[in-house]
Amino acid sequence: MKKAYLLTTFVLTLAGCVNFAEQPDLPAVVYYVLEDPSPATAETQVAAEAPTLLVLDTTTGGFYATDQIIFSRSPGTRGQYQFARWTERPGKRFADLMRARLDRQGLWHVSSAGGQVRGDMLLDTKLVEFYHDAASTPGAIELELNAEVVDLKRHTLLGRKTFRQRVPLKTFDAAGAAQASNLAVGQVLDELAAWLATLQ
Amino acid sequence: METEGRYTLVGTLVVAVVALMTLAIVWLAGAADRFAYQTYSIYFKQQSLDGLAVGSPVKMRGIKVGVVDSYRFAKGGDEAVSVTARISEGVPVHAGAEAYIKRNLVTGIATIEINNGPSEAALLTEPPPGERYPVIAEGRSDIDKVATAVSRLAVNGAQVLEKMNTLLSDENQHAFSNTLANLDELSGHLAANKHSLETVVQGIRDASDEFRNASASISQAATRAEGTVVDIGKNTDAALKEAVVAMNRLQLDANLMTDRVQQLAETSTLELTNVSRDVRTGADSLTTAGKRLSDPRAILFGPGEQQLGPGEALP
Repeated sequence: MKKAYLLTTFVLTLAGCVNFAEQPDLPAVVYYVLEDPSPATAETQVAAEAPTLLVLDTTTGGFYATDQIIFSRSPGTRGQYQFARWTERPGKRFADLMRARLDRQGLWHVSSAGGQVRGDMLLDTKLVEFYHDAASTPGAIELELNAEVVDLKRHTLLGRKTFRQRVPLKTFDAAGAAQASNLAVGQVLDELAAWLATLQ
Repeated sequence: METEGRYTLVGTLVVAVVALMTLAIVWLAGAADRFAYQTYSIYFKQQSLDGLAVGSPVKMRGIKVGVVDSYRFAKGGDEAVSVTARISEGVPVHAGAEAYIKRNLVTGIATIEINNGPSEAALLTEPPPGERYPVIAEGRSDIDKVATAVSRLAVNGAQVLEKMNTLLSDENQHAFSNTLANLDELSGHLAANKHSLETVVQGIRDASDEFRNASASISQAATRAEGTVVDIGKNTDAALKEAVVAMNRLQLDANLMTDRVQQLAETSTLELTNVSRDVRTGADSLTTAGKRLSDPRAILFGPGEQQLGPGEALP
């Protein structure tokens, strides 16, 4: 019994001398911020009688519910960049960018759903695909978004639409993928805002 | 001179003969009936013509206006006597005129009295079909009317006497006797029970007094009840008004609560949606972490060559 106690103490002492966290030989992880490249305009005054649009957080598939950047070397496969990540999960970040874009549009009183605000319409989106298609060099960013608008007063579906964008990369790496992702997000938000304006 | 005198005599005779012949022809043709008078036929069925003769006067309102020209039994089975009367042409006989026999009670001489029809009626000039002259209807004389009334009176008197006789029959007299006996017995009983009757009357009087008192009490109670009902009505009215106000407030509160509950339901639904999504995201993150932990080599020594992304390389 006394021997076992001494052996355990010796092992723990050796373990404290080993550093598992830092691997100085590996490249550092780079974090990219997903952004809307459209120019920021002055704050638009929303009319008092404008409808209130509640925007739910964008959902994603289970594989995309991570801060890692996804790529695909062949159809039907997905992989993750090992040394590049998003600062936020793409679904959450995309919802924030979407609310900001709709606020700038000035046609709605935009609010996140689930608060104390009673809305007239509800926007629910799902990021179906968002990855770097690396089957060719330099490849392209594939983005597919499903959007659904519900009339909260009459509890009816006002419209549903799928937006797809494919933006080529300039460089065949994570930085190129992040840059192309920003462009793809901006173009999808352009189409989404235009579509929502027709449903007002 | 003698010759001229004969001619005058002869001419005069000739003129006379011609005039007589003309009159004879007129008489034979019946045209004489149309001169100076109008002939009427009268059929008497009910009245006797005793004392009436040809030439008897025909009067209207006591004035002689004509004579009886003839009379005879008329054809038919009703034994009517047809009297032909000549009435002066200037006497207007209107439709609806009636003729009756008027007889002197002392001498028995009869005349025909005509009771003329209404003056606005047409003159009676046209004979009815089958008749030669216009027909004046038979009327009734005053004596006949009186006689008829007396006769009816006599008949009614006889009936009354007969009914009186029936009323005073022996059987009825016996019934009357029994009734009187019963009345006598009843009066005797009443006299014997006078004290009881007085008691009953006194009781009725007392009951009447009590009833009057009760009525007064009821009246007073009704008056008090009326006042109470009025008060109750006022209180009820006020209570109803307060109830209406309370109901209105309650309705407003209910509407407010409904609105808030609806709002709560909506926000709760969205909140639950967000929570469920967060839970799912958390589960996905745990799954991802689990996947990483399932490869301890990558954790300890870094990713392999196959795991690297585009543009990534190991040193």
